[in-house]
Amino acid sequence: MKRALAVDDSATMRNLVKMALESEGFTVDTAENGQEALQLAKKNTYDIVISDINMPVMDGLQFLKEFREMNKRTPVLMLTTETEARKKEEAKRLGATGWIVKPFKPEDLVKVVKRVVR
Amino acid sequence: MKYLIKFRLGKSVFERAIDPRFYIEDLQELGKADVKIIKENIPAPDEEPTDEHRFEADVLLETDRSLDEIKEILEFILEDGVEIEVLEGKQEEKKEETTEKKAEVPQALLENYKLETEEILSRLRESLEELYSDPGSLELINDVFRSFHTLKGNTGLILSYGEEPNLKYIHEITHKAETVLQKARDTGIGLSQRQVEILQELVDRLDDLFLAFSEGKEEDAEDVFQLLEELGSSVEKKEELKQGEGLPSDISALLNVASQYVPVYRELCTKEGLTEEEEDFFRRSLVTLYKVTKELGFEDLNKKVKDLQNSFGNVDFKEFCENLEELARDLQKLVENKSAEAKREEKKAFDATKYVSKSKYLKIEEGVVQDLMDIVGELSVFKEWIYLFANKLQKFYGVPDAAKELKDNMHRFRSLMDSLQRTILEMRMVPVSTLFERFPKLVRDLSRTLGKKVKLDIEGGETKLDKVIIEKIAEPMIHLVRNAIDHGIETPEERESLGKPIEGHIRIRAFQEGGSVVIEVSDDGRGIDVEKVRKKAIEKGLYTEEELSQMSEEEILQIIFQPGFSTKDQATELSGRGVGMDVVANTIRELGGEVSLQTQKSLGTTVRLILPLTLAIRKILLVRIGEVTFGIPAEDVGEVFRISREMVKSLKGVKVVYHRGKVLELDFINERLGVKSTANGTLTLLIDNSLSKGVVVDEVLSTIDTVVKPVPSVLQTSEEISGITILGDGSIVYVLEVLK
Repeated sequence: MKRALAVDDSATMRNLVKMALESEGFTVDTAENGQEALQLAKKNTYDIVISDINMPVMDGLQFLKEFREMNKRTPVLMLTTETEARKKEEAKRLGATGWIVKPFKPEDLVKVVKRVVR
Repeated sequence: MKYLIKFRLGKSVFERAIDPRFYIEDLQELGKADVKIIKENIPAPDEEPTDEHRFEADVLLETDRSLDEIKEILEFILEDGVEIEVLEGKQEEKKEETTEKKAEVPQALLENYKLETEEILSRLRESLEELYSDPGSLELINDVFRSFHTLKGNTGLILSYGEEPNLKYIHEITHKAETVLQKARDTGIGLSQRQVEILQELVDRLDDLFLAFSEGKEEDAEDVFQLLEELGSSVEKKEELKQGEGLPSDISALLNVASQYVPVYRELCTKEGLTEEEEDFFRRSLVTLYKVTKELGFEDLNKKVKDLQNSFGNVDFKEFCENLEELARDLQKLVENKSAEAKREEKKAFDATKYVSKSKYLKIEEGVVQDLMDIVGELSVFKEWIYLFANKLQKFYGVPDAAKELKDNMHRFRSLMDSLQRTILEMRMVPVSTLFERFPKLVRDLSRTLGKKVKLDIEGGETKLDKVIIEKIAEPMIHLVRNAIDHGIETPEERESLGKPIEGHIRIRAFQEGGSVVIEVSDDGRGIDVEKVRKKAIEKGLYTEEELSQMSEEEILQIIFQPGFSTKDQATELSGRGVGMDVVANTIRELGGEVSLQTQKSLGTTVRLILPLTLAIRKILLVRIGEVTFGIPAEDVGEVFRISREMVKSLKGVKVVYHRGKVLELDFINERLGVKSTANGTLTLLIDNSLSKGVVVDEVLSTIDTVVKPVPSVLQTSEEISGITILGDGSIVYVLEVLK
């Protein structure tokens, strides 16, 4: 079974990602910020990581940077908003596999996830 | 469509954990794909990517998908070594050419052109609507003529920078239309209704072409030639003969060009130095003037232009400008003489200031306005903090004078904040006419397709509404209008036999009512048959006969807004797909609005949408839990319901109640928030829209209209809190989105 990590400080968003992926047969771990996510990523192996950008404690870009230092081969999708075009570029530079623009529907997420992990 | 997609991917994409083979697989699913792998050295799952790793492939893809769809699929790697070629031979070449040339038009000019074209097209649509009912009105014909004329001149200007296929069509259409209109006006004969119809169709095509131009696409508009021919073939031939002799229409082209250059020249001459772009403008515009003046035989002018061309860059810029001013005056004189002579042009059309004056509009990215709004939100929270601080100064720090002074000045700060907030709200507002102006075309097209005769009246287009709301209601509105024509209005024969006017009547009306905007779509068609709705509801198993017998007619009509309901016996291609009114109702409710429906058999139907003015201001239900007041967005609440505590049951450890035959999961939100509830025997439930979940509060206090602001991080104590709002007395209320 494939395993995913969903990182977002909003519970709603975490649950949305969790629900969407679970319906596709993933087991989903969640983290509320980059720091928590890094700790989980050190312990477990994931097939995909989906992370928000704006989060307290450690934001998504910092997380991405540190995550990529230890893992270059797990797809990471970033959750962005329309107004964050520049962050999208930044995320790409730091090794993001792709991105999803909020707000999105579960099926949109699944579509994008399928594009990067099989 | 046939595409050649080239993948030339290296280390950087592998470092992003991208597997390009997935994309190849995705492309293969789109149609016939011929995949040629050139190089495939992809790092293994546990391998560190190096420069050695490459993936190169060419995919020849035959599919009905558009270029945009393909781009969407390849979005994540599009800028990292993927090239898409559209293999339509010619088309591809042309596209490259046009994008190259287009880039040379000064940005400000292009922006001006786009803005003004939008204005012109919208004005044309309005005038033609009027002209349709009064095709003989010379005044209206003159209005329309002027619009086409201006558009032609502007388009010609942009075209002078280089060929662009859409603009060439626009130029052609406006030129022919102008000719026909000029004749209609000068002879005093006016137009036929059919001619007005053709003009309307041409304006629709201009719209398409302009859109294609704006988006950098290419619109095939060969069909317009037939329309143009029908519009006035005899006139056209005569005009073409005259043209070679340099008669009116060409002179007016010169005048138009001149009237646009002159103000720009004057403005540039006030500057100290010129940018490359501006220098380029001088050169190009002088070339154009040189050509036109020569062709038209204005020898004096032609010589002056030539001298200027030679002196540009060789003499002092000031001297050049003085000479230029002379030319400008000549041109302007020519403009004035000719327009007086021809009498037909209103002075306004050549009013130089019209072209110098910057457009009244400034385009701002929506996100920026949103950011501003958020900042103001944070600011107003900060303002409250200053108030608290002032209190502290007074009570604890022993500096009451300073506290008083601070407080006194805070009043001014508050009123400034308020007006800042109002101004930003205003920025988001646009007139509903931006939406309404699509409807004449829709109604024309639909009534033609459905063989009905329909007259459309639009009122209140100037009513303003949040842009986001306007965008969201576009689809539902289109649906309502379709419904009105398809289901409401009877066929002409039917209407005649009923003694109704043969032409059906649809009215779209917008107006502000308090803090809401009301939009009504009414028709004078057959109305909705309550009996049919009743039968259908039983047939579809939505309600039993018994349930229906307890309902009022009004309530039965509301069933139309329920999912999966459609009254027309046979679903027509246009509006009967069974996803109708429920989608309309849903969209409107999501926006925090309401839908209602009134109908009278054989007299017609009115659907009324009541919308909030803006999404920035939301209706919030204030509730009390223990000692604390919380806010809950009213649009999330489907129902408020009171139960006694005994009714709560425990089901597998989850607290539930039975409500309307359904199990409703209860959320004792106070436990999660760490607030002590003071409710005794009676619980108040806020139930969500889908009636599946109930949040328990102690009491509902009131509803307020307010701006919900993001929670400043210092106040972020619980994930249930999605925003804050500030009450009139300055107190802060947490907003909970627990019912979403």
